[in-house]
Amino acid sequence: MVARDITLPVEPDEAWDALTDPELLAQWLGEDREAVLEEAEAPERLVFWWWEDGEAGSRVEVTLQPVVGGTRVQVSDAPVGPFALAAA
Amino acid sequence: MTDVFAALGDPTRRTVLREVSERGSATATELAAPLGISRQAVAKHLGVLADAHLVDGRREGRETRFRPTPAPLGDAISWMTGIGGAWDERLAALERHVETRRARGR
Repeated sequence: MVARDITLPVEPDEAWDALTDPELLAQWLGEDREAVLEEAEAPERLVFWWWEDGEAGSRVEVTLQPVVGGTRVQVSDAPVGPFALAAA
Repeated sequence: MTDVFAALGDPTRRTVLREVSERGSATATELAAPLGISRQAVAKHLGVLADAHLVDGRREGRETRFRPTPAPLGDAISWMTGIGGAWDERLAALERHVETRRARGR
């Protein structure tokens, strides 16, 4: 599993709007990536599965948390299928 | 090859795949009780996941044990090293996007 986080200098609502903006998602997805949404709970939690070119992909969990000075965005990316064992 | 999209499009099937991935291996019987669905239903989901090459089934006595399809070690290592860098870039893109939206007054 891969984990990353970033703190954005805006309120959770604004961070959520930016995160779910089709413009940004198109950028994240690129040309060959497909995704299905598992859960979207504004402005706290976004869970989706994605993959590329028919390859097994991963489950991505994004959580937003208000912190002093902004919003903490935490991402965890857990592989499913072929890479699950090696990258667990 | 069955489309991964079709295989992952079903929420129960995603749960089944997640369980197999987290446990390392599982049979339909082992998953039925914790998932609260029949052994037959789990077996069907595992079959679809196997057709999409997301899991591999091997006979074990009267049952079939499923594991995540093994990836060549090199591929797994490049997945791990590649994915961290990709997320650094995606989060940087999110940060820039927040700034751009602010500048536009949204």
